[in-house]
Amino acid sequence: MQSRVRVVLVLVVLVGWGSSIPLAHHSVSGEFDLSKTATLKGVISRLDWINPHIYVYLDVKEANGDTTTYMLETFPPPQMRRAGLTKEAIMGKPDEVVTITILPPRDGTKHIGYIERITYQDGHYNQLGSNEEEQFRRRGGQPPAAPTPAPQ
Amino acid sequence: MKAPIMKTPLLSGGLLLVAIAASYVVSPSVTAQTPERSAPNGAAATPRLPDGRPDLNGTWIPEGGGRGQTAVKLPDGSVCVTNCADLLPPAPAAAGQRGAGAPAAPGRGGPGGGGAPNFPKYKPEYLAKVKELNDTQVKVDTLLQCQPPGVPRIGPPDKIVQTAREVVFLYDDGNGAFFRIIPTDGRGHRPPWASYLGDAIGKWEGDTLVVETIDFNVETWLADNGAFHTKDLKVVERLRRTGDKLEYRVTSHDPAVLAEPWEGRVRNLQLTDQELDEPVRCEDRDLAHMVDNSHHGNAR
Repeated sequence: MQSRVRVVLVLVVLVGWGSSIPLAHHSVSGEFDLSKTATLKGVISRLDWINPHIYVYLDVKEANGDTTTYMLETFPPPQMRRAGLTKEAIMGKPDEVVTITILPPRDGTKHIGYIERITYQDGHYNQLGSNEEEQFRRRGGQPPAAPTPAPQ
Repeated sequence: MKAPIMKTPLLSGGLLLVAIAASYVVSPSVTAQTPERSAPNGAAATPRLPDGRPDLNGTWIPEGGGRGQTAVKLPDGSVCVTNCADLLPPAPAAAGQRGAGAPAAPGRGGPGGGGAPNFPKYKPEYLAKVKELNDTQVKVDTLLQCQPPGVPRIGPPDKIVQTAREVVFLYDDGNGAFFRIIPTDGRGHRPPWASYLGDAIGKWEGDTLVVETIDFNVETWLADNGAFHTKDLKVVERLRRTGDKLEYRVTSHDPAVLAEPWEGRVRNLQLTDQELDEPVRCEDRDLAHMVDNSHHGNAR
C-alpha cells in the first residue's frame, strides 16, 4: 500500500521593518472582550489604512434586507506590513463575501469589533488577532490583567 | 452568535517543512566616505566623512531587526500572525542559544535594544502624581492621541542626514513624520520656543556625537506610565558608530522632579539600505470606547 505523504510548506517570515512604530496605543482588553467572539458575514467595502490601527468596514446584509456597516479594528499598519499583508490581501476580491470573527466591544457600542480572523470564499484566511489576546488564550482564557501598576 | 477560534486542519498528519526568511539584507553604507579607519579583529571599518567625523548617514534599525513579529504563511495563501502555535515547529533548545522562551538578556541594551524595564526615579513628593498619571494614561497621555512623542520617548532616529555643519534626525513614527535639526558648528540654542521635540545642538566628543536638547513643552512624557517632565527637561543623547553598528544612549535631566538623571535603555542599531516611508495618518478612534484604564508599553 502506497502511503500518501502530504507535504505542507509553511513559511515563517521574521521581522521586517523595525522602525519607531508602536505595536498599539492602548490595551485591547480595555475596549474589547477577549473572552467572547462573534462571527459576521459580509463584503468589505472600505479600508482605512491609518495609525494607530487599521479599520475594515464590513457591509453585512441583515435579515430584513437592510445593510449594516461594521467598523472593525485590526493591527497597526506597520505590523500588518511586517506580516506581509497588503490592502488588497485584506480587502479580498470585489463583492466577495467574507467571514470575519471578531472580539465584541465591552462598552456595548453596536457595529464595532476587533478582528480575529478573516476567511475568504476560497477557504484561505488571515488570522490577525492581537498579541494581548494571544497571551490571554495561552493563560487559558483568564480575565484580563489589572491595569498596569504605577512604577515604584 | 459566538464562534471559537478554529484551529487549522492543514497540518494534521502532514510533513512540516519550515523555511525562515530574513526580511531584508543589511548592506554596507552606500554613501561616500573617506578615509576609513581600520578596525581591529576584522570588524567592519567605521566609514568617515571628509571632515574625519564618523559617517552617521543612513537608515538605522534595531540590531537583529527589532521587535519580533512572526507571521506564518501557508500554501493556500493563508497568513497567521497570532495564535499560530499549532502551525509552528517546536523551538530548538540548544544550550547557550537564545530562542523562543529563553530569558531576555539582563540589564540594559540587549540585542535590538532590549533589556530590563527602566523607569525614571522621581522625588518622593512626585510619586503620587506619577501614579495618578499612570492610572489615567489612556485619558491624558497625548501620545495616545496621535500627538508628537517628545524626546526621549520618540527613541533613536530612524534616519540620519549628516553634513559638516549639522545633523538631521528623521523619524518614521506611528504618530507622524518628525525631524530634528541639530547644528554641530558651534551655533547655540535658539530663543525659547517650547516645542514637543525641543531645541537641539550637537558637538563631537571624539567619535561620539553628543546632542543636547532643551526647551520642551510639557505635553509629552519621558516614557509610559506617567513619566512626566517639566519645561526644564534637558536630554543628552550620545551616538557612536562602530562599523555598521550604532550605539544610542540617552540621559534625561530634570532635577526639579527627578531624584537622579534617568538613563534610558541603550539602543543598538544597525545600518540598513531600506528607505523610510511616509507614515500613514494617525487618527485615534478607540479612546472613547475604553471601559478601563488598562494600557501597555508604547515603546519606540
